[in-house]
Amino acid sequence: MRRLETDVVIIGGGATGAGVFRDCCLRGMRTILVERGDIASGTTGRNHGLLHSGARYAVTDSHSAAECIRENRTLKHIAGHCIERTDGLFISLPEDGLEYQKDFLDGCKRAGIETEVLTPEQALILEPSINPSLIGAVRIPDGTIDPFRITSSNILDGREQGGTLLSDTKVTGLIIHMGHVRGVNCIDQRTGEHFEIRSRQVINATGAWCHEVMEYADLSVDMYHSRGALLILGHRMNNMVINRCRRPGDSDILVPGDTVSVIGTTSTHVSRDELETMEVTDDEVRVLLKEGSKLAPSMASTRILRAYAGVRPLVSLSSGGSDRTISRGLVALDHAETDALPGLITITGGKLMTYRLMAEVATDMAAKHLDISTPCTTASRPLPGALLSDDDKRTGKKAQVGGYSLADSSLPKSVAGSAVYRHGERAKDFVKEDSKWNNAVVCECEVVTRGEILYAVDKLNARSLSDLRRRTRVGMGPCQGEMCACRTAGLLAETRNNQIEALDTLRDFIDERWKGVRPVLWGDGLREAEFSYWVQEGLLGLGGSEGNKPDETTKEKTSLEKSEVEANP
Amino acid sequence: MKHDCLVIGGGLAGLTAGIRCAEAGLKVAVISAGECALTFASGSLDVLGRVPGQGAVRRPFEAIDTLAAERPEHPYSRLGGEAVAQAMGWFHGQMAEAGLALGRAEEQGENQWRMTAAGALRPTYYSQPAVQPLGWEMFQSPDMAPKKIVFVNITGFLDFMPELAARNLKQHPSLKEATVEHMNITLPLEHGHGATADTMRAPQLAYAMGNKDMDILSRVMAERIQQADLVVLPACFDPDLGSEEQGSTRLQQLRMRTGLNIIDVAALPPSVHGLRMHQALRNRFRALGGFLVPGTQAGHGMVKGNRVISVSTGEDLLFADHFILASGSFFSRGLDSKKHEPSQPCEVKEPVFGLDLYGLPENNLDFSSRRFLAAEGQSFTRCGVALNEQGNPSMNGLALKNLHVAGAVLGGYDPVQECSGGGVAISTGWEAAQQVINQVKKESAQ
Repeated sequence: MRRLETDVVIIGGGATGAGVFRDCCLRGMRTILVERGDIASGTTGRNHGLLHSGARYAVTDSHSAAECIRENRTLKHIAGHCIERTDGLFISLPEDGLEYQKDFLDGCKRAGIETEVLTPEQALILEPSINPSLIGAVRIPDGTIDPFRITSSNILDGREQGGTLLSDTKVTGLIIHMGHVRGVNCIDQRTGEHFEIRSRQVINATGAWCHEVMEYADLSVDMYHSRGALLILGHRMNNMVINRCRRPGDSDILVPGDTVSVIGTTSTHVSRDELETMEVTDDEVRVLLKEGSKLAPSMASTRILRAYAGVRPLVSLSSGGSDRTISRGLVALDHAETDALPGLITITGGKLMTYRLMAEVATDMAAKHLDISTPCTTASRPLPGALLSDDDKRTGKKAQVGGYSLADSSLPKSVAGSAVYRHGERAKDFVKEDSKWNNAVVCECEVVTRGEILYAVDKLNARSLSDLRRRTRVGMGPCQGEMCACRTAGLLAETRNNQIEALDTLRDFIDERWKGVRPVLWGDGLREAEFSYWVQEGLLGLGGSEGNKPDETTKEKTSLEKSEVEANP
Repeated sequence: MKHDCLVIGGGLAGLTAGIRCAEAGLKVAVISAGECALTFASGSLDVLGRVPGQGAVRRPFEAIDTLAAERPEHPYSRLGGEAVAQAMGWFHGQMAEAGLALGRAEEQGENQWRMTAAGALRPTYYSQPAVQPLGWEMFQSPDMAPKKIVFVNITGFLDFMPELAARNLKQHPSLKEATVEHMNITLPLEHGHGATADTMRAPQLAYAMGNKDMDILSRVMAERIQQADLVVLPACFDPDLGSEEQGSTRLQQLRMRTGLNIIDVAALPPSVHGLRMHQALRNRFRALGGFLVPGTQAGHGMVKGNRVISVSTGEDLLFADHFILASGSFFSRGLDSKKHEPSQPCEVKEPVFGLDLYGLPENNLDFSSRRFLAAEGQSFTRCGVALNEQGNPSMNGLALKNLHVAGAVLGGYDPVQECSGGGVAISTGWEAAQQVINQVKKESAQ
């Protein structure tokens, strides 16, 4: 069996795992990150994309609130290309009253969150989409953050420092020897190859799935899995984050993000065997629309693009109570101390906002065991892509009015601008005026070019179409990948070094997009779906030809196994 | 101005009905809101390619009669195979008159294969002109199948996926032993005004190509492709019907100059083949004296008793003795779906008359399948107007005597999984017109 050796193995490629990866690499540890699917494909990519100011927790959880505002300022500095500084409003509706606003302002003050009390008129001028019947509003420094982009940037930085990412690789067990965790057993899910990684520390950053890794060592944790459903609206309805000024509840945050807006969330306790069931129910759609329309009434008549859900990895440190009362704080367990099992660290709980802090805490634990004294620099060192400073065109006033642009580019603003918006200064790696075919626009909704696709394959470890969606936003716009998915699959087929069958990944992508569209299949969404169906199945026959239909029973197998099955019918 | 017949919808079904009416000497108008489904169709015409659960169909008209017994709600069931065959034959003649000679399989009444831009094979009936039909036997066994197939793309053109297509086609059981290759050819694009192929959709590419490009294409293909049985290019030739008058089409020239068996297949929309067919339909309709009103959305239909009196379009009211509704399905707004109460399934309506529908969703999830490309199809495609035994639609159970319905607005069939969209549009359009013609004759006789 193949054996790799390293200092640290990180399990899980969400924001937290990616953050730990970067931190470890920056502190000079030899590091391997093992992810069973693609980075940011779990909880990380299934939330609002809200850069919390902490105000939401100001009344109920002042510790989390203080953590949030600190990280809010840090992330604005280190991850400018993943963030929009939109600011946010906490609006009070007649049914809420103004009572809570007082507690809210006090809480914000305690946590160090700057606030500005606005009259309803002032608030409506700032953000015309809010419910005009509001009776009060407070402005706070909320923003938006792209969870895929920030995860990818952390991974990119770690890899550039010498770290190794093994995606599509599942950890099947811990190697425990003489009471020490000495590494992990893995399976490469594409080739089916079993191998092991020997390491001095294993960091379990699997979030909502952390109990599974702990069980490999016969440890247990009391997880409270809280499912949150969200809806993506067909266009960007609002430019500021809109919250309800009341105790946190269902469907009370509307966040703009790139070309769309996102309303969420619900909050339902789910059992651990429901973690992979991510279809959104009618009831969730109903609640989201009903409450969401109170924030922004035009939502009731806005097209809904898709519905999705994620699972929060909350840890019950006390029994009883609903999840909204359980702390969203991070939980870091050095099992050497808590369970007399050296070599294993678990980092869970927390939230996207505090991923960097969580990474720092976990990396500190590992560094201590490895006698590494190099300090953490992740709070001050900008991520790849975030080097364009505030003075630069990217966030300068000029750019905000006219769209972002590459300083010396004569390419259309929409092309160069989208590239810089997503990749910051790294856009220079693929936006080149002399590249004859690379500036071709593959995805019109999100203005993704051939060059960006090839860059993501080459430098950002994107292998499937869904990976490419997370790296570039291809197929994320209003058409949900109607034609760009086919074009992108065509490009993937061109890149010969790719191990994935382009048609398989195209089918997977189409089914994944469909999962989110089905719960909201009416109106223009249905029209779009019908058009996609005509094109993808009717015109192209992607479902397969007679005698050449992909067999559903082989669907779950790896592509390699599958081609063997087909070769020997 | 009052017409004998007003057709709502200028797609394949509507124009077929219009042409049939005009041919019979009726005063007929077709109103059309915008582009129709032909714009993104393959340009081939299916009749019945698959019977769900039974696989591919070789002889579609025979299969229609079997289908009729099992699926009374299917639009074909009312017509029967013979009438559908008659309609298809008539349509073929009309297209030939318009300069579009559709090709069918050598064997009368048999399906042929259509190659897709993703390398799949789908059963179809008529193919575009100047293409040797891919006969039914061709992909039944390795002996009959082509030994070497080459996909050729214009470098930079994104809407045709030769590598993907080649790899997919190679998976076909009859082609396991075959060589499937792909190549790109870079063209200067003589009439492209400096724009490159990567910025173009198929029709633009077709208009950008000049004689110089055709010279390069034929020279490079002749040099680099040896002994291929089949060469597949994206459909980016002969965007206009007119080129036929110059002697032969560009594709024919290419075949002659290279000596290769070349077919061109529809790239991603818009489709050159589809646009050309749409042009042929409109030309034919106008040539027969039909009145085409583009850019006109049908509003509300006025009904008195069991007869339609008029249809509003913006500020106008259009009157006619007979009406044919061929407004398409959801995409074309022939059907509307709204969500009123999130816990209820969406409400589907035929917006012009509020006609009674078939296949309404009973709950939110039964309107679609869990997987998008599922073999069982998508239920929403089968939703549409229901007809009574006489072939008339109804409003709250009341049959409308002078209204006929054709094409995708009809319910009871799945154009995509059955490969039946073109045939249903043509045969129901033809049949609706036939009913109007018969009624007009009867009325004038009285």
